[in-house]
Amino acid sequence: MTRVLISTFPQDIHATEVALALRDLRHEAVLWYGADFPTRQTASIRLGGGGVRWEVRGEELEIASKSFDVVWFRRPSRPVLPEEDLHPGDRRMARQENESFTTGLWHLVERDTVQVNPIGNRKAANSKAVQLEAAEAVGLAIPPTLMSNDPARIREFLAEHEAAIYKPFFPAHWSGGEGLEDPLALLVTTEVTGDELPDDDIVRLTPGIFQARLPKAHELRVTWMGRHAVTARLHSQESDLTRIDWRAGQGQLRVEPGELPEGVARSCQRLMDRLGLVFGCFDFIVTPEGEHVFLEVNTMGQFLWKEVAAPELTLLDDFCAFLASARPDFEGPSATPRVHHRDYEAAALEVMERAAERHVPYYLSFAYSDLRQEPEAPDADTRSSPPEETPLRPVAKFE
Amino acid sequence: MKKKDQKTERRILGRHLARETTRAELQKALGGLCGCDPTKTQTMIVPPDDDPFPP
Repeated sequence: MTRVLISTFPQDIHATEVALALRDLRHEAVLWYGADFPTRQTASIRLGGGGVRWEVRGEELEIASKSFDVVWFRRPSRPVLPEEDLHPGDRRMARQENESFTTGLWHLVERDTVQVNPIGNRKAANSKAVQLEAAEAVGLAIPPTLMSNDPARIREFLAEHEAAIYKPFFPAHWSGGEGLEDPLALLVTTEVTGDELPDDDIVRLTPGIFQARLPKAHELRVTWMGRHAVTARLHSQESDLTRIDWRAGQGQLRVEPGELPEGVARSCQRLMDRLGLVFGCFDFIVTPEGEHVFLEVNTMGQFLWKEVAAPELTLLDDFCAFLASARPDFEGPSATPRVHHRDYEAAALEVMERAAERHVPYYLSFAYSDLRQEPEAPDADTRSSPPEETPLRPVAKFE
Repeated sequence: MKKKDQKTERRILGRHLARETTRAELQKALGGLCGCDPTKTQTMIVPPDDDPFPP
């Protein structure tokens, strides 16, 4: 039996399905909702006398040191404070104290376990500049890229390339605008020309990522676990919606099992080792000439959607086997698949609904407002809702 | 979907280049929670590459 701790938030279907499947496979899986700290959760770290002991106690939770073989840092959630109950002069200090404590706690929690992924490696590994530099260093092709807030350099770059794209460091969407019914503005990768840039004083306010737009035959999404890869071929060029960025039309994307050439796979492994990761989701463009061009590796990307689109891609089973192996050099499942997403979706949704009633919600911070006076927008840094007083809402709701 | 008219308002680059659409259109396009049917879920729609690990 493998003991797995999953750091997440209540509305996370990946964490919930994996926990349920692991339990059916006779492993222990504990869901740790970090946003419950400090209002519905306490934690202690005891040092001295030759060792360190930690414990976390809360709603449906009691965990302590030396209790786990694997820690899956799926979505380590920051503490959520009841800010409206705090004096304004205390809020920032309270936030800093909480974050300093919990960051230290995460480092101790992962001690003597297999970490997916090691907390200390994720910050650098998440940097797109660091990734692209490392990818080229290990032998992967990358697009010509400029990351800049310098309007002159950006215009020069755009002029150098027949076609170019802009992508943000994080996706975003805005709601509350005017014109359409329930309007929403979505920011993913988009084509851009010099004529479409706003004024220079606006351009310099936010650095962006600019790349040459490459021709695509199709794309690959490769889920990497230890030394095992599950590759999906994405037919992104079959629709205008998915042509530039398949995420904009993911629900309509045709997906089938794909293959990664051996040389590219070896480079991917070198990249994972260099970044200090055991899990990641690679995005590749495959050009009409068959060249595989690295775009990024998401250190904790979504993967169940691939099984939904192509059920022969048994991601849930593979990932459970990966965690259960407790081996960073996992080479793939040894048994025929036993757990499938389609068998766990309904049960996971029920668990998530119950969790939403009992635990503090955690808001992902990529939702913004077009209203001039921003309403009380959900913000993982500042928002809290004392569970007794405010109905808990699902996260990532488009406002 | 169309890009915002660059003459109407001064917004940061990302918002300037964002595509205008509607919630209904986007829910249909994204396919729901993890690629699942959106009618089976309520409001949880997350772009697949969200990775909100805090800095």
